[in-house]
Amino acid sequence: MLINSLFAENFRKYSKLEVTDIPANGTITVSGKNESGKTSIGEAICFALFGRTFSLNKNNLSKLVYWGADAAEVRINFTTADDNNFNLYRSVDDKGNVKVKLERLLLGGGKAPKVLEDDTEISKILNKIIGFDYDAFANSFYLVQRELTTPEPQSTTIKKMAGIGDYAAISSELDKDNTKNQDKINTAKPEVLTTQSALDEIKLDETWLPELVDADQTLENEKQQRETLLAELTEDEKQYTENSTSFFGARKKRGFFGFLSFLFFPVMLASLLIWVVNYFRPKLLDNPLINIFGLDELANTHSTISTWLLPVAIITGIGFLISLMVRGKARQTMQALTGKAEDFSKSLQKGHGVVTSDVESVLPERVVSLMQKNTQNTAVTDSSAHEEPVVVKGASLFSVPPQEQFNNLDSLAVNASTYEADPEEINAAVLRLSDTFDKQNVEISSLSKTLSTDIEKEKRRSDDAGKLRATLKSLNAIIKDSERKISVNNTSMGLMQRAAEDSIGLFNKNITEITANSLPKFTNGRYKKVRVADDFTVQVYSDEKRGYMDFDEISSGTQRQIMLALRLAMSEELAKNTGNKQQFIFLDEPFAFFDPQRTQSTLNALPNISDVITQVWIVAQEFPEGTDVDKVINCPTGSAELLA
Amino acid sequence: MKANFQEKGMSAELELRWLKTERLSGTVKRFAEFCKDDVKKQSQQDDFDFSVYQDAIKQVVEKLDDSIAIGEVFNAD
Repeated sequence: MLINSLFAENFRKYSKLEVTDIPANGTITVSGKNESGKTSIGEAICFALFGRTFSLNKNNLSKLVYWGADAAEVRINFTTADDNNFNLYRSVDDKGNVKVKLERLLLGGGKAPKVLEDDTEISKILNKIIGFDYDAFANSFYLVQRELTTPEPQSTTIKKMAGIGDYAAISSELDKDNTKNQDKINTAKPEVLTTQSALDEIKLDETWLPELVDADQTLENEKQQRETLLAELTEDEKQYTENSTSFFGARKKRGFFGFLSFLFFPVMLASLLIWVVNYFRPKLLDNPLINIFGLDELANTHSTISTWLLPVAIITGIGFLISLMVRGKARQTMQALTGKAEDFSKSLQKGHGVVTSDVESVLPERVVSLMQKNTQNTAVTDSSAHEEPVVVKGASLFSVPPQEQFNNLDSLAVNASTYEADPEEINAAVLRLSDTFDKQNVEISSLSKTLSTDIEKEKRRSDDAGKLRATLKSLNAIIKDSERKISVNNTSMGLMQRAAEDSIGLFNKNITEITANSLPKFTNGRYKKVRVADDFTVQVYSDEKRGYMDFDEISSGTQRQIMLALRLAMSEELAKNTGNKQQFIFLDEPFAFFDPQRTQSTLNALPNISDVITQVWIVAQEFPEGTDVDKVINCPTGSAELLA
Repeated sequence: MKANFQEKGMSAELELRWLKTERLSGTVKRFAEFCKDDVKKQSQQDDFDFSVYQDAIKQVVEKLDDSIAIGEVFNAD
């Protein structure tokens, strides 16, 4: 973060303060006598950024207002690491009320950016975009002369400088998350046991419900089969008598016309033959005709044959053809009726098979056992039911009719196929079948009803088991998810622990390297090396003692020189670890205990000590002549305005 | 898991190529760079779970890199 300009009105001792064209790389000196307002410049920057100064917090900010004015206002323009440019305004009135505004400036135009004016939101965003808060700022980039110290070894600031500042907070957060997840596991596990136990108690057999449903469907099919068969038999039986009459009529007709055709054919053939011979070779007939009718009647006989036998042949031929046709039609009728009779016969045989079959045999054994149990219970407990009671014979579910009741049905069916069975016998058999089918269907309906109750019961059990399984699945998912989260969190914490150790090592190495450059210049070569232990305590290498000394063992004057070197080194590390590629630092009276020579050499060294801390503000009463600086700010004595 | 890595030659995964350190800065960048070294050591452990390790990295990176997209904040309606 680099400051580009600073404006203030009625702030501290200034009615007007303007510092512009601040170089990004270089030294800015702020000089002036006591009470000239040097420190106010640092305070203005600090107030703008964090709404407080080193000595004034939010409770007494009204002291920042210029004497006699209503309010003080500060505006700084700064650039962040990602080259975003911002204007930050902050004012405080004489009642201590603070207003703040942050706006992002767009280079090259574009949509007007949103201006933020909420103090809390701005504080949060500022912390993100500049990378540090007030505590880190006051322990690094803002060195107040009278408070030249290094951060406490275990402070948040030094951890932030080392790049591990967020690890502790994240670890703490993950630790709490682990506790929550463990609580979830601890809560879920007993529930798993309870649910599993409840599931075990149900003892659900996955095959049982489908078996029951299949059995129910089988019963329904059996019932349907009887009803269909009964309808067929009743209809066929009605037609049987009528068809029987038609059949025998057709048979009689076929016989009669068969006889006629037998009669007509030889007559036709003989008449035609005689007429032909008589017509073409009459002499051949002379001898037989003379023998039969005498010579005297020969001529008449030839004449009679010639006149009558042709019509006789034609008439008998026509009769023969008609007889053939009628006989053929009668045969067709007989065939059709025989087909119906055979169908009826099959239905009778099928009916016989059904009525004498054992329905139990098509049901699963387990279902039959259940039905027997239910039937027995019903017989005992539901004897007063209005429905026709189910007759239970032995272990059988059905009252299968006696075999002898239908033992003639097979022979009857055979006779019926040729209409030889007596219609009255057929009628009686169909009535018996009908009665038995009705009775069996009543039994089947009763069993089906009981079975439906069992199916509903089993469905409820299955639903209960399903819900318990879903609960188990959900609980196990919670446990698995929580265990994984704990595993990930533990791995995260382990990672951060190792990363922190690595960062501390790197931090210490960097501090040692950076101070190795600055420290000899600040201490006139007396001390050359500093090292920071893993617990962030500082030790200084002494050539005289040929070893590292604790910081407390050094004189206070030298301590401050070492601390300036440390401050710069730590500030550089903080800048790096907060993503700031270039950073300003404000050093208020850093040379209070430096002799002129060390001040001069430090001043010369400061701009080149770091590639990151590039904008160095130094406040002092006066600077040695010939000091090479990039911007000079002389604070006036006796004037409330400063334009630099 | 270690055996799986050796069998399947998953050295590419161990390089954590999905973790783009060049897009990061500050602490999170240093953390990401550390992870790229650390994974090679950790993968030698018998109980190393690469999936858990990756999720752990993502989790920490997300928490460290909760920086606000400045453009989004200042250009929001």
